[in-house]
Amino acid sequence: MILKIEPYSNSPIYEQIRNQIVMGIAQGHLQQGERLASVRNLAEDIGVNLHTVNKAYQLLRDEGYLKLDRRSGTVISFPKKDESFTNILKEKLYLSAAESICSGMDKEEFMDFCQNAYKYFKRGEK
Amino acid sequence: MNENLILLIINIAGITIIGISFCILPLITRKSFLFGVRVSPENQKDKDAVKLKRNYVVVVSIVTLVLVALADLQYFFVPELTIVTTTLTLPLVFRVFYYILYIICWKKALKLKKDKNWQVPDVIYAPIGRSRVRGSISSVPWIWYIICFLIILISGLYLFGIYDTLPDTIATHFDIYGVADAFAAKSYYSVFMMHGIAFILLLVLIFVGVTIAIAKYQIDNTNPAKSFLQNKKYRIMLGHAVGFLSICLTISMLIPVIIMMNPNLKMGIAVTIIPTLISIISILFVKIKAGQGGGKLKIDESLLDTVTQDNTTKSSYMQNDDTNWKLGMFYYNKEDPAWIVEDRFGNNIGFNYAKKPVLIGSIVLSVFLVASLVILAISLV
Repeated sequence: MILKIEPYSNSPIYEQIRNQIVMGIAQGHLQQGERLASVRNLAEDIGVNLHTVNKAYQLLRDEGYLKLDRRSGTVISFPKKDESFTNILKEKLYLSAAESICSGMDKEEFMDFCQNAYKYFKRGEK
Repeated sequence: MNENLILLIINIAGITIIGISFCILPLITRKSFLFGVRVSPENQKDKDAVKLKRNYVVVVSIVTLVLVALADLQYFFVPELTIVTTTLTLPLVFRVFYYILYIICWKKALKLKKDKNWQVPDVIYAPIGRSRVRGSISSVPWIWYIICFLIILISGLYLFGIYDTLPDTIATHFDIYGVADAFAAKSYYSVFMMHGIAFILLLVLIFVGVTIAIAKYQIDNTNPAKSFLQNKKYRIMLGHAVGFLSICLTISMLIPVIIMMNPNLKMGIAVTIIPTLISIISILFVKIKAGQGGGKLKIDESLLDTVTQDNTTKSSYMQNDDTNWKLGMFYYNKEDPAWIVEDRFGNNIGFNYAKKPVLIGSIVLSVFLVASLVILAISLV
């Protein structure tokens, strides 16, 4: 999989890395146990500070998308659907729902968006 | 034919080749740069950009002709100075002139980009997971270098074996007709000197091989997935070409050593020139066939990888990496942990000058080179 980073975007680079890795896993482009580039290698490829990549990896590790394998280094893993995950998801969805309502979107339209987003990632499953 | 005249002919040919390469290199290399400034391929066709490129070619051509004329005049009036002026000084003067001209063009290109508001989306692509492109030290084609080492070792052992039977005086230098013209008394130093040099050269070539494997290359943003695969293929090809070059150079340095040990033998200059030429042609062949970073290589499209986000949508952030390239040719990025990067033209390997050891090393090396040239020139006069 190839990451696409926009260095001058408003969203910080570590967040872009984090989000794209999560999307890559959902689409099946990154598979369980697949080895990721080391922090240094990815930082060199993008041309950013080591801390930036480290922060993204740390975040992904905390969320359960990555784990440290003694033999292969950093590998992809699937997080557990536990309570803290559902809480965070709820928070994000509530905010999205609120924003949609504010902008005048009706329930059906909002549900359509949710369904399409889910389908978009599931379609890529191998 | 006397030696100065032959030198002059070689030098004029050299200046002409350098002139032609200076003329065409910035124009045929990556289409995404105008004198080191990132522009889009459409911007290259802009009438002012075309004019800038045309003026550049005209100036380089005139200077090439002037230098050739100077070399002729020098030969006509003071032929004994050929090696100092034409061989040592002119190519250096040409290089200095070329860099000044390049910097002027780079400034003009920057101004054009600003004045015309040329917008190029700034996006960086990086492979992750299975798609890794850059190799590691283990992906260097070591077999070539192991063979070189064995050639040095075996021929060295052979020389050591016959050391006692060698004559007391051995040839250390040959003129361009292949006749020995300098001799030294037999000693371990004079007998094994070429082996020492060949070994140091091998180390330098191994360093080049490693940089080819691990350097960071620039990626064609119009089709990053394809560009990464081409790049991977190109690294492998170039790595083998450099490996082949090191074998040819080692052979061309050590065969004469065996001949040198016998001052009665006449050595054909072909012994050293032919292997060197073959290897240089092989590298040029790879470079021309593959294009910068492998841009001309054919790729099995089914192997193409996925870019996480749709790459047809243009990025709206228009700042570019121009600021990371000082004077349009020196990569300077404090944030980037990479030490070795591809140069801006895509022809060579460059360094990240924001790394202090790189900066200090290059200053020391430049001072050393200039000083040794000056000393050499003084000693020849």
